[in-house]
Amino acid sequence: MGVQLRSRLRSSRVSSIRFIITWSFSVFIVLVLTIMAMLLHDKFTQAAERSAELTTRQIVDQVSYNLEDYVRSMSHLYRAIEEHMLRDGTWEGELVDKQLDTLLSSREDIISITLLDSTGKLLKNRPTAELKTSAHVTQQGWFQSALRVPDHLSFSLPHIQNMYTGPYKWVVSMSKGITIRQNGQDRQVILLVDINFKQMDELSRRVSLGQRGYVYIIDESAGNIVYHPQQQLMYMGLKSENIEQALVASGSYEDEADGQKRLNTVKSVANIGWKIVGVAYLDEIMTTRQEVNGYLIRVLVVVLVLVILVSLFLSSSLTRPIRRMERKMKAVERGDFNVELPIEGPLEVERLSRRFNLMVNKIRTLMDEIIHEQEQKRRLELEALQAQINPHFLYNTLNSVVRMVGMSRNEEVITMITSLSRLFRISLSQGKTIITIREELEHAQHYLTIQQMRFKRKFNFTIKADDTFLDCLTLKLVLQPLIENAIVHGIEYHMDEGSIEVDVYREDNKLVFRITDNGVGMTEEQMSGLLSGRPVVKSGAGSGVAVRNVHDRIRLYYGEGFGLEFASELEEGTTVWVRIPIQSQQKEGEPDDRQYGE
Amino acid sequence: MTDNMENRNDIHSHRVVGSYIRTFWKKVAASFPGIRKRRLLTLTAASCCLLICSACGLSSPDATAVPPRIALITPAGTGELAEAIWLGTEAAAKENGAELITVEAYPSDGDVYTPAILDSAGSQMQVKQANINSQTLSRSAREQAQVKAAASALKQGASALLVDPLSEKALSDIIQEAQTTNSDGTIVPVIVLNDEFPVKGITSFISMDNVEAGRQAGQAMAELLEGKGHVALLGPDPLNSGLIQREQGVMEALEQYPDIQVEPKSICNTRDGCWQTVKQLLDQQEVDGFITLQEPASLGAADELNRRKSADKVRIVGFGSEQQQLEQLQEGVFDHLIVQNGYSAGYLGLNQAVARLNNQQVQARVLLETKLVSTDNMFWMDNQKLLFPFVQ
Repeated sequence: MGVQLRSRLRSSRVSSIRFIITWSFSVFIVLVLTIMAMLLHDKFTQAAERSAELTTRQIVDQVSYNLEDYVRSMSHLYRAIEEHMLRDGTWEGELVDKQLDTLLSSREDIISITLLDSTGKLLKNRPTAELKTSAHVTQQGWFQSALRVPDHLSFSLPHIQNMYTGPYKWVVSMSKGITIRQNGQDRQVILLVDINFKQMDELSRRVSLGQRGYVYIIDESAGNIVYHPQQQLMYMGLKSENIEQALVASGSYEDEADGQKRLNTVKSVANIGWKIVGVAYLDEIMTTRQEVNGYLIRVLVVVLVLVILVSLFLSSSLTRPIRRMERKMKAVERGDFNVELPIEGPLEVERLSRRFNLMVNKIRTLMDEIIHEQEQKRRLELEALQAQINPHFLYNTLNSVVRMVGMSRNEEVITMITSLSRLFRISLSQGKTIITIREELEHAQHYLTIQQMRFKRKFNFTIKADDTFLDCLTLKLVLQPLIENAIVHGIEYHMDEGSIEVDVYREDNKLVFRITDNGVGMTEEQMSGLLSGRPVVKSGAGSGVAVRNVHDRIRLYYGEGFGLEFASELEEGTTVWVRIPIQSQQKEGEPDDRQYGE
Repeated sequence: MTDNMENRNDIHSHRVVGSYIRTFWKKVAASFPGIRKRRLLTLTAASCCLLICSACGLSSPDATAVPPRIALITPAGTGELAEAIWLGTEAAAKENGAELITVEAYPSDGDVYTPAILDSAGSQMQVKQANINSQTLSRSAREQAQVKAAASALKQGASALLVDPLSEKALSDIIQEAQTTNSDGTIVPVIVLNDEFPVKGITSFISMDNVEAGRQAGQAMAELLEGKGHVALLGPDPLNSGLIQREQGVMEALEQYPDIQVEPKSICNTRDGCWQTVKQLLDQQEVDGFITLQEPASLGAADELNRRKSADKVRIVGFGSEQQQLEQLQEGVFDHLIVQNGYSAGYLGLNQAVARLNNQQVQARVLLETKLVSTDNMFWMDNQKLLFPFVQ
């Protein structure tokens, strides 16, 4: 649990490659995207606004053009009617009627042609019909404007024509006060042509500015609504238009109605004094800023998620080999140099692995070399020691031999020389460091024999060993230094007759040589000094390093857990245990039935 | 020969390319250790899918909801009122982005205005039931036709109904239809136009304040008679509360004038019947003014007065805005007409329906302004727009 948590914490640390890659990737990409989005956003919305404005303007212009065109054609028609009707100062006659009928039938949007005098009396009309008295002709707007501005064709606002019976129709009245000469007198008449508003209504209604956009028409002089698709609603007060603004505006302006932004485009219609206002809802004709923003945010979120996923994937696949490396390095740290990284993964990791393997190899070889060197050094030391010891011992022994010869003790001389030669043969043992227990014991025996003679039988010795162990292997020259130690330090200065016992027995899975003497013994200090390598106060000849040397060699060769152990009591004697692993000989040595001991 | 060569080259190059791709893939796969090739493939595919999906999801703007389909059961009201209502609903449908369908229960009285241009934005559907001459239809047959039309509208997937019910019974049946035949478990709102009925399950009533309208009529009559005279009420069997309320309003207003005697209400259902009724009344007693509670009664009374040429002597205050009534008003046969604003009724009705469908605040009762027009002011610009709602 804790370990997992810790490792997770470690892996999510800010400095981890994974973290760096993931977040730098994400931040960078999102930053780039955001900047792009911002740059594009303005440009985009501006362009959208411009194009929306342009579109509505074009539409409104088109409507305006159509209306103007219509108005122009109606004006032409009016002039034609006027021409035909009043050319000769009279409106009577079949020809006039015929022409008027032709004109009427040519244009279905003419509802009526009416000629009145200035008092409102009907002079002539087409189609012929009764004038309603209840219509109060003289009070109608078109009549008054014709009187007010004579000789000027005026267009009325759309209104209900109520002069004739029949269905009420919305019309635009074209009227003009005309002065004609009749019977030498000037006479003012008013020619009224009512055109159906339907055509204009349709022109305006057909316009589509987005889903809900529309155009409405106002009258420039007074700001009356000429046409509005929802004039009913305006009348009910459910809807209102900002006519004041439309009146003074030219071009486009934005306003707000019911919380919705609208683009108004204004265009005047020539000859009739009307103004067309195109209303387009911005949210329909262009993607609004919020929409763009929302879109961009969505894009960013998706990209971010993707980037995080991808970079997590990437970084983990990058760091996995690195983490593996780390594990291997830890192993190396713990001292296991037998590791090898597989050569795979990204190129850099591959290279690193290769380098690492090389390095570990190098270390391994160096370590081997060092161990080898150390061993060499030890061997050389040993050899040097032996080389040191042996001449000394040889000198002593030979001295004894000379003494014996002087005393003509030939038997003993022979024994001694024989032992000496045997001794040397075993210590040389063809340069091997490992010999059989049998040889080692024989070596000890010869040594003891020589020393016994030298010390004039001051001590006895016994060597006991189980036959089963005789063919096991041991490091050579283990016993001799210890025995020498026992003789030189333990027995030489002892008053009584000394005894040295060498036993070989098994303890658990170890082989034990026990060397016991009944010499002077040692203090605790001396004992610990023996193995710690401090030079001990020497009490006689000998290297003083020998015992330690034995211990070290055993440890070096067989590892920890083997080596020497001392137990000693002053004036009682000393016991040394030498523990080595039981190692059988690979090759069956020659059986040797020789018995040790005396 | 050259062809063969080329072919061989082609094949070779294909192979080479293939092997390149393979080796490249191997390299890629090798650069992601610990992931099996298959897993890498699926991962790649998955991420590609994710990308594509997200891109698709992003590129398409928020899917706009299907526009609600709202049905208007026609005729709503009579003749031109019905047309005005239809125009109003149409305008509101366009504004709200709803789809308006009209289901005709039976042919409407009077001249039916059919728009020359069907607006492409608000798709229209005219569904004709069996075209029966309305004149021959009995009242109960009409009611049945109306209920059938409502059922048919629901079958066509209408999510709201706008209806001017003929009677309480018809309305109850329609509501039952609306509550049982809905497909997706939501209640189909029913909006009642021009009328009020004490029926449960109505989303909203859109009508004029009939009591107020009655008061206005009574008040106008009182002013015409300068506070004294005989006034007769004329109207059909009160099948709906609207008429009862009008009557009530008239009575309330006239009670203020002690010198005005109000005759008991005369019952007549058709134009001809009312004409006869008025004739009898005028033959039997002195009547200074008629208050006619709806169109047929108004027209019947006007017919009799026209016949007698005594239009200036007997006053009429009527209800309705049929073309003939307007003509009579212009001629001064009627002194006043109380006009229902059908356009507004339709407009507001549809707005209420949309509000209900969008789970917004709905007014249970929307009162429309009543308009009293007279011979003098009927051609004022505003009144023109009220009285003649469409261009023809």
